[in-house]
Amino acid sequence: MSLSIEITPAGNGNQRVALAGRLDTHTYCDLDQQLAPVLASSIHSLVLDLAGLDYISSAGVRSIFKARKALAARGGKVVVVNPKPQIQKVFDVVKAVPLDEIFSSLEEADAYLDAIQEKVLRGDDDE
Amino acid sequence: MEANLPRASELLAAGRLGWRRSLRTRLMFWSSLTSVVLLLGVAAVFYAALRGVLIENAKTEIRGLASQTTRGLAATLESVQVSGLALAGNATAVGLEPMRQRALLMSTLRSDPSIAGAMVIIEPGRLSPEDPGFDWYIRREGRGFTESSVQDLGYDYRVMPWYTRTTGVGRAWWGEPYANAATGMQYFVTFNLPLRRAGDGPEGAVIGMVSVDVPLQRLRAQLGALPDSSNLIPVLYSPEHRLVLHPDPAIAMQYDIGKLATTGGRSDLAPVTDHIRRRQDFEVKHRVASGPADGRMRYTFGGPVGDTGWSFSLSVDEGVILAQLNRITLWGVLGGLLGVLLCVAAVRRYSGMIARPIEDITNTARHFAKGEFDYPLGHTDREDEVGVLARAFDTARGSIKRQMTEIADMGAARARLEGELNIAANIQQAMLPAGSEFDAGEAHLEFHGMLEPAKAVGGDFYNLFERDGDSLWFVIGDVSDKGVPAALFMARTMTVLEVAAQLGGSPGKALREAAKHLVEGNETCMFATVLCGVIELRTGALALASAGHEAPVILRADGRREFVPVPTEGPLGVDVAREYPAWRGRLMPGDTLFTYTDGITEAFDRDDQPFGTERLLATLDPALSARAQCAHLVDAVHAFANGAPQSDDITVLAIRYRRDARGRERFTVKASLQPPLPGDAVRQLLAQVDAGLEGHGLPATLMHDVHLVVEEVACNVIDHGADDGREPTLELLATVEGNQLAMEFRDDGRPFDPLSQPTPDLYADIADRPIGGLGVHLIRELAEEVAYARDDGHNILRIVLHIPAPERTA
Repeated sequence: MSLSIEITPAGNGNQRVALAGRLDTHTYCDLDQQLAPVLASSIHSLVLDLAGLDYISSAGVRSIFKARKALAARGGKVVVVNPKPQIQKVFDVVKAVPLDEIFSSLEEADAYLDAIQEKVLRGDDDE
Repeated sequence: MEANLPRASELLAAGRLGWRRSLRTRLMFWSSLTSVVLLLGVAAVFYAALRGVLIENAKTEIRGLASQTTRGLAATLESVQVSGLALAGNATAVGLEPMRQRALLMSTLRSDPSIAGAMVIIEPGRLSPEDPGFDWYIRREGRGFTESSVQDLGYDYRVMPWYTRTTGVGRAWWGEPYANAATGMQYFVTFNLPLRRAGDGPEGAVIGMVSVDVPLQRLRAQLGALPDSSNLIPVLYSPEHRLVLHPDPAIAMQYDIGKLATTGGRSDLAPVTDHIRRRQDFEVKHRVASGPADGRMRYTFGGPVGDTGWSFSLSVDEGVILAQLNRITLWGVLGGLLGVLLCVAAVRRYSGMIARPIEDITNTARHFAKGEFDYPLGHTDREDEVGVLARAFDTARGSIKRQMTEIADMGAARARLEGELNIAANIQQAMLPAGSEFDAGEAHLEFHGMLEPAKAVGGDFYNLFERDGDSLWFVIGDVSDKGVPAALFMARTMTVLEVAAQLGGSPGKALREAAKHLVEGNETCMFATVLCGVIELRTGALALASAGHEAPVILRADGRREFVPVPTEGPLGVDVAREYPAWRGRLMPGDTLFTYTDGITEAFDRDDQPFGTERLLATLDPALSARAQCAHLVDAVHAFANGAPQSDDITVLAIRYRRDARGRERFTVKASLQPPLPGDAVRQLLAQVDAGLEGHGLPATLMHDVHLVVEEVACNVIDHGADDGREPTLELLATVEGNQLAMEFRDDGRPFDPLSQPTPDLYADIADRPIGGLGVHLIRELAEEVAYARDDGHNILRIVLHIPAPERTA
């Protein structure tokens, strides 16, 4: 069992990355490596589709943190879609991702990000 | 309408209003009293004035009568004296010729009808040495006369006192009255005169005497001129002051005035005595000192009767003078009183006419007082004060009736409202789940809640519901304010929270969802503090999120107790927080999670001291069930308040976690890593563990946790344990016993206690948040027990996981 990483082409500034398998001390480096160019690009949001992820340890959480930090530095977001219960449990314990950035479907996440995008474009500074 | 009114007098007769207190009686009393006083006053003034006038008039009249009578008496007596003097003058002149002497006596008798007898005595040898003397006495006898020699009368005149006194003194005098056979037993008074020779002066030698007799009857006749009134007391006093004539036979002839005044008991006559002795005219007012007229006031007028030596007085009682006045006054007063009686009767009749309407109104008022507001009220159409009073009364009655109707309506509305409130209270209580127990295999959550609203309905609430068969959600909240508004908002909040919780996710997420809904349309700015939590049955894992609610208490099975430092945001309804961070922990078997509202901590006693958090902690008892715990605490709060009014809704919710002991085959699994460590060291170690645990029916969630724990511990050992480039050896001994999996990690790396690492700040902004430290945090959260020891050059980390009951299959 290892980690499979599927990076779909970016669109509208949203980068979707689907993870499956185990994100642990042995696999987080793969993720870090593959995400590095993505994070270095001009995307402003990263959607992590965790529907296939079975296991995550603190090492994996750290990778997600790194991605969040990288995007946060330029006002971007990492949102999580479809975590399995055990993944959600780990997220809750370590506060890996804000609750309002966890979605149960890609559509919800897209809508959320579109709304944010719109706000940014309009120059709205409500938040 | 008038006919329906019972007569006020009947009511009075029935004693409902004492006659003494009725207006009519008082009117009659005072008017009568005034009339009587006025009448008596006028009578007294007139009486006093008339009395003075009457007495003065009477005095003048009596004075005149006395004076007139005195003059009559004087005329009689003086006439007798003149006759006597004429007799005396002639007797010596006629010589001793007996016939002449007799003729002289006869002429004296004939000339004065007042004279009843005459006498002459000439001693023998006085006119000439040889004359034989002469004496003769003639007395009227019926129509004729009897006459005789004095010596034939049977006594020697020369020794008689009247003779010796007349001849001795040589002056004329009145003798005292006497009566004898010669006078026919009539009282006579005698005027005695001495005889001297003709031509002799008054100092000449006395040769005999003459006397003339006057019957007392003759003087008494003079008094007959007085008015025929027994009330007048005429008194004639002799020259010796004897009371010769007096209406009282017991006094007449019996007393002289001095004796009567001194020894006769009539001391009041002393001034009269004095005046008579001095021969003065007098008027004396005196009070009778004794006798049948004792005590009467008497006026006495009197004075001397000419120069005769006699005196006369006339007395009259004041009572006699005033008798008529008294009689007139008495009749006058009686007549006046009769007039007053008539007047009282008139007043009674007239006051009845005036007072009856008032009495009627009073009677009606009495019925009003008893609540009979429809009792007839008369006299409203009168145009006097009574009419004004009656109309005012009528208006007031209308107003009272109207208001009573309104009050009754309000009472009914209030009763309806109270009924509705009671129903609302029942509905509200029914919204709250009854105490129960939620079981999942060997794990049990017994819970119990109690809500005591301060008013009929309250703003506190709690709710519990099972989700996914393995977790218990609960909320407890407190809506701002109390009463109906709070109850409505409470109902909404409960519904919104339940829906939000059903969406899944964490308590924080549920709170955020609920907050979004509750902010909408919340114009009244109601808000609710809410504590939301979820307990995983198999593990006791607890997640709590708070929106401004009181920190709950975890009461451990061994009696430790502490407030749970749940991070909190603002209450729901006002704003939506970005995040309601969760606090995570675990309930161990026997632990109780105790939640409450501020009605507990802010229950005040009579001295305004709050119950407070210290008392709350102290009161909890780990031995009690959830139900008993709630009752115990609420009782403690009531006892503390000691009757002080409940200021806020009181709500408690206790959740106790229990786990059945479970028999399971005890077995151990060993795994180890020896240097040189392979690249996939952790994975190899996990493979050994999986192989050892496989086939024992352990739940997948446990296996997931085992993987996490093993990976985190192994990574730590590999990362931190290398000592001078020497890789450590890691051994794992996993023991399954009952519902626990104990893992003992033993390595020979350099001393490192992962538990000493600080808990990472999970709530810092992502930009500032350190990435490390999460592994140990994970271990702490997953394990029931974590312990580190350094022993014989080895780090020993003991971690115990709870083995949840197998998931039930449908």
